[in-house]
Amino acid sequence: MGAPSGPSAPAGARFGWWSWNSLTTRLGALFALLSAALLAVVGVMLCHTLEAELLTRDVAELTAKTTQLREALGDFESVPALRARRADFFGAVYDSQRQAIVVADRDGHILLASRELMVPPALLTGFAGQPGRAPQTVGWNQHGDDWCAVLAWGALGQRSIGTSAATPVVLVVALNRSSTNLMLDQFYRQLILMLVAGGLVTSAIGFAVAYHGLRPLRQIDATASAITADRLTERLDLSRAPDEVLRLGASFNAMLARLHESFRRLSEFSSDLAHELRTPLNNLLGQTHVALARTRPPREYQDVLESNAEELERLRKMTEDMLFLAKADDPQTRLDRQTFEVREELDKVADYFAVVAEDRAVRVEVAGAAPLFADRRLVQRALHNLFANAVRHAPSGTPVRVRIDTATDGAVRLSIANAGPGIDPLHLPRVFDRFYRTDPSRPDSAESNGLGLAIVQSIMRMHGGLASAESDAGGLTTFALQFPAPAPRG
Amino acid sequence: MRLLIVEDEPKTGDYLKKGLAEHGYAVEVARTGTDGLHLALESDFDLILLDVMLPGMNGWQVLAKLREKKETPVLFLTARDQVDDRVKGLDLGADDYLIKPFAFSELLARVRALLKRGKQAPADTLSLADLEIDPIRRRVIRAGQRMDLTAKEYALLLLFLRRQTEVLSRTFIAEQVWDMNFDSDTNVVDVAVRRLRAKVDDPFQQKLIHAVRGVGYVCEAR
Repeated sequence: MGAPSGPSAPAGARFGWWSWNSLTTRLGALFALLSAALLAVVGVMLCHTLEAELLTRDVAELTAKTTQLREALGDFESVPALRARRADFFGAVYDSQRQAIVVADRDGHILLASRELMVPPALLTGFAGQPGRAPQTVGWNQHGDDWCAVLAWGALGQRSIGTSAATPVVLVVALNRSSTNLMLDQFYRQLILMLVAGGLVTSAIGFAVAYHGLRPLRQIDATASAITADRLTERLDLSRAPDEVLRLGASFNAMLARLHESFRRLSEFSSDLAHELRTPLNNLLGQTHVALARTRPPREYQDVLESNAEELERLRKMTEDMLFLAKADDPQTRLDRQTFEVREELDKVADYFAVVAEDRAVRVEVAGAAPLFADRRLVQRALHNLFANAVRHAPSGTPVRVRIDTATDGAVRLSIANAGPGIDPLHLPRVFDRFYRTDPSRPDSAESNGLGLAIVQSIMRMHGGLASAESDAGGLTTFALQFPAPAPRG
Repeated sequence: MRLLIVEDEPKTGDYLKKGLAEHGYAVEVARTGTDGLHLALESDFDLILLDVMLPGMNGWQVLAKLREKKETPVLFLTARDQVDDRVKGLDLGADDYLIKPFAFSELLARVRALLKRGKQAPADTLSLADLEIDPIRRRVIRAGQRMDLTAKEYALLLLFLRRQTEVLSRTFIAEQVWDMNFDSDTNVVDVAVRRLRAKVDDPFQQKLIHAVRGVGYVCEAR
């Protein structure tokens, strides 16, 4: 059945519309099967009804004839009289082709027969043995002809005056039903022919309807096949899609939008990375070439080497951070989790920044405490980056406020707030992007490589948490780290 | 002190050899794991610097073979994505590891630490020129004057005196004094050292703490 798609078939192959796995084939076949079954049932019922109806009519005709002949029997006083005037007895309506009339005596001996009929003797004698019995309908087959007959008791000479007694006889009125059967056979043949033709036509219609109905799916297929990295703006046209496909198409379009966004970020990131690398590489290359252009006193070489060392240090740090981010994205990366007091790490980081904060006349205030089940080194790193950010941007004489809050379910929230110029709402959603700087002129690029907050977000994601930033109209900027509640251990 | 470097990347091997030789070590370089293992088993080294990715036989295999016969200290040199839990836990028998790219001063500090391990008891007092620290009473005296230092300034000075003449990178200082376990790209160490120098060096003719541009700081009497 169907062509099973082999393992060699590419995963992204177009739908095989005529394979057994195709919806069109299945729907069409189902439709064909159903219509064939329906037509067959209707046909069988039709035949059955027709057959029964014809039989009823034949029996009614026979019964009527029998009644007529029984009355006629009374006009003949004896068997010889009956034989002599047989044509009168059989009457005008007698159809010698289809009908047969037999009169037999009480012993079942045939007295008169309109044609050479052959009522099965057993039937005749059986009926003859039961005088006065009500008329009986019987059927038999003779020389390939189907006969149907009514057997009834009658009496000769009942109506003649002067005769002492009537002579009881058995009257048999038979009908040859072969022509009826022939007609039925013909009808059946035509019916079957029509059923087959009808089945084929409805199947074809079924396939056509299914094929047409599934057209939106093929459009999705075609659109999806056409999508490449440089055509991520492509979207499905859902204006005429049926409801069922509409949701699928909408999900598909939403997925495309997300992909497009991720892709845009990634390519922006790549170009940013190239830009970030270009500056130090340019410096390195330039000053090294200048230094090598002529012979110099050792002090000058030393200067160049020292400057190179600084640039290289920046490159090394950036590489390190990039590798960290790449590793953080890898779901295989395992965390070295332990339970520790997060206040300890906060105090440690605050202590680290104490001299810088003091230099800038910025106070660091830490409040709260909470146990945290996390990777201690990574939490320290995230806190460090947020502190660096807060201390750098807090104006002289203002506090940096750090809070530790615990929700009832054990989720821990760390927030670091500092006054300052604030962050434009436009930039807020993107401050955690790699290399994203709110100020494009990047005045602080010597001190920060633009990866600090991206690393914070990565660390939070690794912990199943989230880093967020908000900035109010007064310029108070708050960065928050939301750690999820620890999973119940059982 | 004899060191063996097992490193297939020629430039890395060469500069490591040059740098370490200039700091007074006798250095040999092997370019493949097989050669390295052979050398390590043939003669006695005080320390082996072992790269992980090596042709022929990788660092893990070399270490496993070596540990069957010898207990020579081993310092692993490895790229970030090769640091797995085996190295972190050092359960293969390595003594320390360093992630590439690393600063040479960092390497030197670790080499010295490994070579000194278990061989040197902490001195009662540490001194350099006219500066003296009494670690037990946490007292710092320069030219007979007692200095008033904060806890972190004291820890920083103690580190400098213990590591006299060694160039210390900012990362190493941050790790030792503040327990920061990663590269910090802030100028915190510079600010802290500047404050320390203001107290310890500025009032005096002879300067003891010197910046080494592009690398870090060194404490020595020049």
